[in-house]
Amino acid sequence: MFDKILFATTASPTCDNAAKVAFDLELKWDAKLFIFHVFGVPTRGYSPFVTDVRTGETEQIDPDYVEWVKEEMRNTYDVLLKDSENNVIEAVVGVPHREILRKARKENVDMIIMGAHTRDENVGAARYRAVVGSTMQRVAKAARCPVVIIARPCTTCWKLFSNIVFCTDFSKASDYAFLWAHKLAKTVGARLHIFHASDIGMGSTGQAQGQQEIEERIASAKERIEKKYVSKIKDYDNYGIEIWEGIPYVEILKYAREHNGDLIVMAHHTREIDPKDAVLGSTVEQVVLRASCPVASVNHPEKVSEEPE
Amino acid sequence: MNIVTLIPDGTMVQNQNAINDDPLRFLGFGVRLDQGYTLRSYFQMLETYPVLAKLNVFIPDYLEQVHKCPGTGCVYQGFEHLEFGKTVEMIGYPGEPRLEIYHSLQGVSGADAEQLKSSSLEGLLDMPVKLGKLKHVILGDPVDVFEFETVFSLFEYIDGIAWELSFHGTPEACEIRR
Repeated sequence: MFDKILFATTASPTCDNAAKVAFDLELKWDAKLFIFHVFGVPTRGYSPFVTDVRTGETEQIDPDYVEWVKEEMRNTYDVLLKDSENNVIEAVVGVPHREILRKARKENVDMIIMGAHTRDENVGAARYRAVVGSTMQRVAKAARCPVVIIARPCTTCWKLFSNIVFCTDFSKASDYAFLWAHKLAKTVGARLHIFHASDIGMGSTGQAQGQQEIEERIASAKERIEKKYVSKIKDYDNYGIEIWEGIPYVEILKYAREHNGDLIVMAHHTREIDPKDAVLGSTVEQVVLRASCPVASVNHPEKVSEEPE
Repeated sequence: MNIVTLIPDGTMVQNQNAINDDPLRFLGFGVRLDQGYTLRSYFQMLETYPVLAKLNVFIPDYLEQVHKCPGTGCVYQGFEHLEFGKTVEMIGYPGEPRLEIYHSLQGVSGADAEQLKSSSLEGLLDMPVKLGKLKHVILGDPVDVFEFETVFSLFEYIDGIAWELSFHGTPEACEIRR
């Protein structure tokens, strides 16, 4: 299912959890792993100086410096590299999200793996800011393949996943996310949980929904799930449908926890808008920050074909 | 500043009188924790004053989890107590200069404070809770952090703990198929 995997890393401890998953996947799928680090932003055209993306310091760039960065990456991942059989380490200069997307496109990778934060900062601060790294947001927005975000240690090995939770808001992007979640569930033999959280927040008039209205919405959502997704599942019967009412990200996290979700699959934004104009949806952000399992953001129909290869 | 004392059994006391109704009036009061206060006391307070449970969207879920936990012995040996603190951080780079204020709930062992990480409620409920200091981080310098005595309001205390716990929903077990 995965022939080429791009692990976009800051080569710092913030990506350690993502690194473990990336190397694990390389071995399990006999994939080629690109360990890719963008270490500096050019100060101006043809200038020999770059601004280090982490420190903000200006550094002079030359082949020796690039080689030194790669050596540092090898040192960082030396334990994981011992078992790795098919990897390429690359360190480049450029604007991080642009270079990651360029690399993904050039190599036609099947999946991008990233940490949730690009800077090593106080955990409380990152939570307070309630934003995932802007590089990750931009990559998730424009990537043509699924982007898996690893914010916490992954408790379950990928091939042994038992529960894949697909969360839908019935958008077009959710359809693509479903195809990928279904394909993955079928490949690894996991249970596919099709989950929808009916938002019962206050309407624009400040009026709370009545019980009857909520029940009607749940019934309607169930009908849509049957029509949109279950009809496409065909021969795979290891699935379940669940619709909960509440605040979507709270319900998604609660459902994933209660059902030991190993992976949450979502569309990267939650409204019917042009993906190029979308920022990472707030629901996805909140889920990424709090989920104890990896979160896959799918935004594009490529690399999500229905049938396992 | 007016002070409200939180008692281990979940009662709130002001001027030696138990607060029986309208706890919202006390949200701006400073908080003092009575001897023997634990994380379980926090949840008992939210059950004693149900309106306070509406302050954070995660609280109803925690209360459900608390009911499933054993009545005693929910402690994690790695920490001596939990500490609720506040950080004020001046940031100069990247982005525009700004000041950010946020709360934290950490496990404390000796002089070391650690993230709760994957500790579940079952391992934390009977841990003592203490109020910490205000940390002042200047321009990203994590070494020379200033620390000050401070006061936490009841609202900060309730919402801050609920906020921090919302990042610790790790499953107790993963279902690995063999």
